[in-house]
Amino acid sequence: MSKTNKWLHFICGAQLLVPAFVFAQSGLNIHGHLMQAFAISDKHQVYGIPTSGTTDYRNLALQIRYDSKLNSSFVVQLSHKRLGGSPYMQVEPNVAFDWGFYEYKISDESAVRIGKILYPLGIYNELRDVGILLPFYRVPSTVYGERGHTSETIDGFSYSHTFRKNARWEMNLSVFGGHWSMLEMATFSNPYTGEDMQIIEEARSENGLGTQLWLMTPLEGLRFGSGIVRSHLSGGINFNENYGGKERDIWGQNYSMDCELERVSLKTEYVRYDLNGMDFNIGGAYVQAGFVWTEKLRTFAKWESSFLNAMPVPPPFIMAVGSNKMDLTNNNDTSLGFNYSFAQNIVFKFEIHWYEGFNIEEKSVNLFVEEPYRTRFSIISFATGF
Amino acid sequence: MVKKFNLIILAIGLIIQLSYVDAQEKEKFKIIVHESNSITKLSRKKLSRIFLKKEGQWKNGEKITAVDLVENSEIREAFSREIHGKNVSSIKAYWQKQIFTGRDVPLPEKLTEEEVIRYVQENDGAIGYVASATPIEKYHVKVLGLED
Repeated sequence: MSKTNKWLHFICGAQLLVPAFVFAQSGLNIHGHLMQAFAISDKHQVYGIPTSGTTDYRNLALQIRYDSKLNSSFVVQLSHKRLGGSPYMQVEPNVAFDWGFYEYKISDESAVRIGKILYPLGIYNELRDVGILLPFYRVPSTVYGERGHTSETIDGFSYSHTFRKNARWEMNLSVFGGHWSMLEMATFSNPYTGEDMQIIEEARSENGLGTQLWLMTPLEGLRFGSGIVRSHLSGGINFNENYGGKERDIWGQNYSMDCELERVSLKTEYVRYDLNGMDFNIGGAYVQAGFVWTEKLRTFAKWESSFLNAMPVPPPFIMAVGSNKMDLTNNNDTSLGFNYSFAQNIVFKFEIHWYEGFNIEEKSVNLFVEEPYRTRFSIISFATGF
Repeated sequence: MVKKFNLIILAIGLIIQLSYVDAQEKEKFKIIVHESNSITKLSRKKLSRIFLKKEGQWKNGEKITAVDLVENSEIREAFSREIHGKNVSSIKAYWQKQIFTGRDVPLPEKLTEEEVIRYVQENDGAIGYVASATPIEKYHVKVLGLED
């Protein structure tokens, strides 16, 4: 039995034996979630989904939490993630320290967290991989990235405060700071063998500082969010002198609308990152609508897109492009999803995606001269949590 | 004329019956706190915030320790609909979000109403709910009034 299987069997077995393993009196709680999928793509491999299909596609997490009687909490989460044939699997540990922090509740309105904390970005960043709460297998990758351009966590601190508590227009503010990392991938053609090689490097965001603000409205279920972040990026591929890159400051901004009513939901978000000293900016947006048919059956539709604006064009391709800068739609994904809840904590999902873009994984792609690739992929998944 | 009169009587009877059913629905549960608690009534909004752990302290600074009934309880469903305006599934989803963002954990859940009453009796800052018809006289707890 492989190490992964042993780990899976342990968690699933533990869940069956102790559906809610809670030592409430002592303040110790154990929780976990699992999402297991079969995924298949029809023409190209994207997000690690091969044309031959894969069941090596899952997220699993185990959380241990201790709440003291002195308004303090200590929370640790371990995770195991598989993304089929994704190149990122080369650097993914079998079991990872997902996040962990110490939290002190100053009052009902304020709290401070220190450690490897969850990055409070937009609607979904703190809920990545929690299948039981997500309409699709993954959160919109054009806004949150799949290991690229954003991070799930921050090595640092956050301070959150609720203003105008209980008022019709309540506001929640988070201020955070610290360092974080993200992965960058590039595919090169080996000049000797002609084979494609994938390189994955970790870029570091240092001395980062940011905010996320949520404004609640008198209509329960409707809120608006916005955030801003600044950090210094180094390493990786694009910010690494060894690959011809340069360290740079980066500014990010994000805007969200989150409307979750009893039968319908509508969510839309936009992010944009600007590199200091360049016109170049990248970002993404999505719109997602949901309808609750019955307590068990829900359907969702989503459109998402990511862009690269004023991208510098390398000299060999300036003639082909006709300019030394270009705007590009990196990818578009239109999807439909069906969620069926067998029980309160067991959800079955089927989703189909129509993808068009350049992030195919089986070969290197030249953005400057090639047309976007099209593929249709489907994911059938099972999610649970306790 | 007699027919008309009978119809009016029937309609009045129906209205009375419907009002009675509605009143029964509203009084399906009662809120209980420790008898030493100086609070006599709470608004539905405040009660909802307490049971979602958005309010953690009583006016005197004492920590609030709310307690729920298990999710398949009819009384919990009635409480959830009446106080939160949502079904139990939606409230469970709220707690899952709280858990997996590392914010908090759900309230302790008790299997029976007697366990709820005993919990409230043993904890000065506790608050819970039980069926309206459940007798509580022999315990050191009191019923809170509900305001809109």
